[in-house]
Amino acid sequence: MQRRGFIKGLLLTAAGLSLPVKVASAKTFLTVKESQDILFPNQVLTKLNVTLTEEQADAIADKSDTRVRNLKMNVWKSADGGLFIADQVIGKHENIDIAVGLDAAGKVTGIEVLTYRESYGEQVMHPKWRKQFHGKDQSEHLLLDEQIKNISGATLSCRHITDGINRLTQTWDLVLKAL
Amino acid sequence: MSENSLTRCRPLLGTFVEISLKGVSDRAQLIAYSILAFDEIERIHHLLGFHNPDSELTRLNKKLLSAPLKDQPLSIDMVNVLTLALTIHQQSLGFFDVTIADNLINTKLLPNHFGHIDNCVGNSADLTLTHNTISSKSPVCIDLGGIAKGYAVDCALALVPSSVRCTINAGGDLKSNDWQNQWVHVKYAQRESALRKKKMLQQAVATSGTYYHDDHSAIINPITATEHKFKGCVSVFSSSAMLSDALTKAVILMPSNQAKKLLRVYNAHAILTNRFGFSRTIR
Repeated sequence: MQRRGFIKGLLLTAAGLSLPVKVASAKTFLTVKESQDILFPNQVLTKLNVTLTEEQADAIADKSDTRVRNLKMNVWKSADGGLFIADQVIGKHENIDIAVGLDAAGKVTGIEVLTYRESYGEQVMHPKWRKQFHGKDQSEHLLLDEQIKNISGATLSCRHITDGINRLTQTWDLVLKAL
Repeated sequence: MSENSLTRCRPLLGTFVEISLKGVSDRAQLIAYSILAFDEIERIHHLLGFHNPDSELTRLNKKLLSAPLKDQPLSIDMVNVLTLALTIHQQSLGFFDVTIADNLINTKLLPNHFGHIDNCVGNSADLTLTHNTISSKSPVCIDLGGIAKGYAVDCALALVPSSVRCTINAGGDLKSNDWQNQWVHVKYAQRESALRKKKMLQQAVATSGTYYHDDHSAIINPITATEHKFKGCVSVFSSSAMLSDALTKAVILMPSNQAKKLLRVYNAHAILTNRFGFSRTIR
């Protein structure tokens, strides 16, 4: 009997280990292009090449109290001096791609969540994520897993987005307003 | 014209607000409806938000903290939310109470705009609403975090025409004008796979749990004035997101037989899901 129980346990453990591991559940809302059309309707946006220096990143981190993870920024400029920034915020429970509109005075005109993922660190490895920010495939939604339509759960704080927006407004003040 | 759909998500009400629209309208029209709904949520966020030092709620709290207060005029939105909050306070025998802000300030889950809050000795029973004004017998500090998200969802959905199928989800407080035959995934624990699929029983559902808070719980037992931590979650289905939002807190704290009576008053259903994903319905 003991031996049978042991074999049963062993088989169950093996079955558990061989189960496919879910990588990440993602919710995709808008593409970069769609969010540009909402935040800057009927405006032509020009892509800018912005790469922060280490010194600039340190200064932004000091002022916003938030770490600057990517030196290369995805920034577009409108004819009236507004800026569209596609960025990423990494929180405790989630990774979020956001789009932020700033007017010529650096005031936030709109924030859109583009993609929301609950696992940690997957997006950096994922080529599609980078691709959509480089204008190559803006019409394609990033689909990492089956989209679950409605989720009702305990309220998740969006504090990391607030921190991310603060970092971007400091970036505007220190670097982007001069462009 | 073919059917179009649009789903947007914006950070509002301290959480993530998703609006999904589907209908035989062109995309520009769906975008216009989504802007209308988000603007309404933003308006309520600025009016009833505790974090905002200039909101109507913060101004009211400053006055309530120096109570007694007599016939202080309120906006219609504040009246709508407080009327239900005070009614549920009575119906739930005090287990739902919006005057628990001082406890949440003490655990740093809410900011302190007021300095000393030690004098908050009153509760919802000290508050009276008459003709769009509020009076208070004792100093209190109100937080509408347990009810206003649902109210914002109700108001925003009311602006979308019924010809457009719309679902609004503000951090788990969800309402749909197309709820029949729809499903909702209830998230009962922090891990991403902790989802249970449930059929929508009524127009609105709200879920409360404490699994996202590691240190302090945002659910306060108003009778003992202590924070309440529990594993799993409670989802309440009802006719409005505001009602569901408020009832989840009462159901979590109330003894089961009293919770049943309360749910019957509002024709609501509650589903309790434990941390392993096993659930039972209370009605």
